[in-house]
Amino acid sequence: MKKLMMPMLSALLLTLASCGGGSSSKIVLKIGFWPEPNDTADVAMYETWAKRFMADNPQYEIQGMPYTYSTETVGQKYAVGALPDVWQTWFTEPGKLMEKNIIRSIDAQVKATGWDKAMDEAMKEELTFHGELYGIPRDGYGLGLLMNKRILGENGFLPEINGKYSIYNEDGSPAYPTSFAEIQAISEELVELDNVRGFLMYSANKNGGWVFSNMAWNYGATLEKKEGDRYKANLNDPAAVQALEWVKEMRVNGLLQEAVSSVYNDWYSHIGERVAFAVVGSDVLQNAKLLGEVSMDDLAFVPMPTGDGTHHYSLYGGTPFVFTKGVSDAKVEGILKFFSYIGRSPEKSENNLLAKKEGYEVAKRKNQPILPTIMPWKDGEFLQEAKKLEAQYINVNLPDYAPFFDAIESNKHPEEPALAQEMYAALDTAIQSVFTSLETANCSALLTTANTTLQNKLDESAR
Amino acid sequence: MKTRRIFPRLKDKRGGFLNFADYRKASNKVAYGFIVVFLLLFSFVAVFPIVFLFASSMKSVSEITGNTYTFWPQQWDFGKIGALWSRFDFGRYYLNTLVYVAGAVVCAVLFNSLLAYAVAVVKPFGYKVINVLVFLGYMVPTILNIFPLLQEIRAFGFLDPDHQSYLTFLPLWLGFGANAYYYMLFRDYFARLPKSLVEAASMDGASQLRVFTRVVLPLSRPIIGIVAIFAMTASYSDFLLPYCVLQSSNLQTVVVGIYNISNINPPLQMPDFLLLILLSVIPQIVIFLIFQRQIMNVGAGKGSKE
Amino acid sequence: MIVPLALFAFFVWVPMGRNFLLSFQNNYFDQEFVGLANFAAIFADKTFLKALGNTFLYILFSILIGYLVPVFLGFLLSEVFHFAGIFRVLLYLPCMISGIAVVFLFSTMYGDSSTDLFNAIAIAMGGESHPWKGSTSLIIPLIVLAMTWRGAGSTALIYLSSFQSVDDSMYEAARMDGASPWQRFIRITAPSLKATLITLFVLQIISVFQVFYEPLVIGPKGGPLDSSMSLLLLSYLYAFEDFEHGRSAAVAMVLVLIIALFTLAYRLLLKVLSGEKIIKRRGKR
Repeated sequence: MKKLMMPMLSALLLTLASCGGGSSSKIVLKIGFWPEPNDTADVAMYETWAKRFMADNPQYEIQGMPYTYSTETVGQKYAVGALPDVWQTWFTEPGKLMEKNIIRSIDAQVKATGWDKAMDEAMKEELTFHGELYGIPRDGYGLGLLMNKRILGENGFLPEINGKYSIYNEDGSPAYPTSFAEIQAISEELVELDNVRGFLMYSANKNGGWVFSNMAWNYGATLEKKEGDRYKANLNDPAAVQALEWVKEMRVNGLLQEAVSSVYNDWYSHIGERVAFAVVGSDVLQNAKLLGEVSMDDLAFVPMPTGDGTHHYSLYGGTPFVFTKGVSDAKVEGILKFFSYIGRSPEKSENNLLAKKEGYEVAKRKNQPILPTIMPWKDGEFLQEAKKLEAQYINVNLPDYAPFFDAIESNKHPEEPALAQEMYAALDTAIQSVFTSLETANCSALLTTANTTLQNKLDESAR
Repeated sequence: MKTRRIFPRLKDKRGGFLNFADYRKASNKVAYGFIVVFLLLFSFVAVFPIVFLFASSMKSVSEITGNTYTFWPQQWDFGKIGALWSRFDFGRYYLNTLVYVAGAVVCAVLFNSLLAYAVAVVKPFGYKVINVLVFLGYMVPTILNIFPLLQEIRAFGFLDPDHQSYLTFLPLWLGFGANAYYYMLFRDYFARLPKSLVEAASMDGASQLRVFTRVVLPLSRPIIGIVAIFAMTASYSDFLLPYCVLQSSNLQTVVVGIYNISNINPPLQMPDFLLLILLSVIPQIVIFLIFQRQIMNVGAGKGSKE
Repeated sequence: MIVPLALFAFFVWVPMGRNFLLSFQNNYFDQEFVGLANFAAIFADKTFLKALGNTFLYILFSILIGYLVPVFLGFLLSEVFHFAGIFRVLLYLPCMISGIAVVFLFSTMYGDSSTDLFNAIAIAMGGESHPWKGSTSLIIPLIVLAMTWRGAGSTALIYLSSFQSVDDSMYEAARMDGASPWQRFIRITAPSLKATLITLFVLQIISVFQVFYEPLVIGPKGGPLDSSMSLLLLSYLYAFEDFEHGRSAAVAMVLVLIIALFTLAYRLLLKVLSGEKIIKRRGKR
């Protein structure tokens, strides 16, 4: 057996090695935001775009290299030199990635295209470090309150108009809850009536801290304070303590989900039957149907509730494209050009709009819910055209989602500026401690501990 | 002639801790009852999670997200197995795993036995130092030093993500050629081989390599089988190093593929993901049922060799 | 011989040496020596201290849960007279499943909502739902349980062969002397198992130092509240998530130190035990 194996193996190696080569003088662009191979419809669409692009720009060759960002895979890919030339990350990440020398500045290349002037100011600011731009925003999201209309309606919390549960009263005023106190009141009754939990509160993978920071703002808290050119942690702001007290009370009374460690991706498996409310980003709402098999007609999306009666802030961020350190200027230029072939640039060109349309067509064919999006570009010719196109394809009942999208411009609030992920981790710990110790949990002390943790990290990074 | 019964009687039990003589006593018969009950219990525990995996993977999404729990799905949709298989092109993961395992077994047997032979039989200058160093490698998990190791592999150009060929497997295969445990198994075995054989061959003027391939290896079939099966199961389950090295999805093994799929965005529906896990364990189970005798003999042999 | 030696050097010794140096440097690429700064940093990190403590918890639970089950199974298998082959196959089955599949499977079963398996069983039996893997005190035992589920069958086979290798005539002689089964077990079975018991005790402890993807997947990432974080996983996260290669290497060196201490203790134990034997033999003469 072994005698056979060796020659076979070496023959295999040789043939495979010879067909692995095939070099060309073209500039290869490795695209990390390429769809996963199992998503055949999207792959086909990207291939059409790549062909179109390469026909117009024969000096480039597009190579799909699907990569889903996560905090530990980026280091692994980086360690083995396998990061694509361009990839998607989260809005909180570019600062750290820049500091650790993993991504490069694309300031000169973007300015040459003039896109920097069309970029949403808030998003641009989050991608700018030491005066240089490090990424291109893909799209934005804001956190909002997703609610199950069916559960709420069946238990008498929403009026029934024309045989359908409505989030508005007959006179058009909102019938949905707008404060955390209202959510608590509804939850208390709901658990009696229907044995359904009120609210899904995340607590793991930094997702808990992420949503909690938004809740704390709406209680009037400021979580990081600027002192000189540094930031100081302020997680034990009395308003933040109040927000955590709310979480604790909900938990003690059995109004939150049962699980101790809940992550963001739990929302679509809970919103159908298990909970009435969850905080969700506006960019993933379609997953309710795609992954949770919940009808979009049973749901509604409204602004974040308030704690202090005035603030309805919505944590606002998005998905940026970033470029791996060491990628040549020529490649960056090529990739920027490619953005105009996939509907991701602010250019009102034929190809750019065509790609957007094709994207909607594929989503429609796949029977996906199509919702409004937050585009990362300032009002202008392209945005108007893109919005017009979007309006043609939206296939959810817009009034159920309008309260959020109509108000996002005035509600949006950027993530905390310094070490946001570290802050979320510290807050997660506080939330999990509340979940595990219940009555004995001291919210103020827990947030003070979280504050110390964050402050240490801030001091360390300033060194 | 002794006839074999399907259901033998306790009074025929000759050997062991409790034999026919003990089973004349009623209390010992009760004890035997406990032995069987415990075994039934443990067998249930061993098999139950696999049945659970099967049942859960066949559920619909609403059954998983609902408020009530049922063990079995309401409907059986076996068609989705094939659909999921082709959607992820799962056959490719299996092909890769097969190639990976084959190479790992060859390297594990070849290189470890060579070194063991050199140390145990030839005994060159400094072989004791080698023994100590290898023992160090036995105690310290290789993946503890994964970062420097990856950089080394990268320096040799193996990690270029453009490599779409099985050449990328080479560093992983060779890793199995430096396994302290296999080395020690070989070394202990060779040390017990009759010295006269080797000496006789050397007298005939054969080179060391010739002695090794013509005399020693043919005598070492049992130990080669043991190491081969160990290397087979180990390489099939091998995770961290292949996970770091196999960057191209065309080259990933089943285990690496499963882990990567658990991280894709948008995520997979839960029953579908469980079904993929089920697909990833079925071949091992089938292989095991076919080769159960060989595999379990080796498993048992492990103890007596140490 | 040169080739396999080169392989060991490439895969084991050089990375180990490099990691040793790295633990005194700022990172892999700059190679600037920073003295003991990395060690100071990790000992100031609560997560590291937690992982250090967890290492001993893992050892404790893996001995409590994982060590004796296979001995018991081996004994049962050696004594059962009916369907012995089938029992062996069933008990060995989990060993064939890859570790990654096992952790994903058990992670699902350990879920903390009332519709996850463990809670569904608890509720069906009239109990209440528990957080299971969401509980800081249960997570390590649960991880060890999953590891035991996978590993017990193969270890049981090792014990099986030890049980079977006990000479029947020794039992026979004891029976003649009228020794009760219990006395027989203490006088004959246990002593002949000693070598295997010690070896596997050490292997059990070594396997604990390899705990990596179990807390990565089930925790997840060493959670909840770092209560399942292992040193190996932390070392990995330092290197690949925080890009702190020096600290990663420092954690690795701490783990190497712990392993070295255990190895020394093991060698010492062996010496003491073999010394005992010599004394006994002399006494008999």
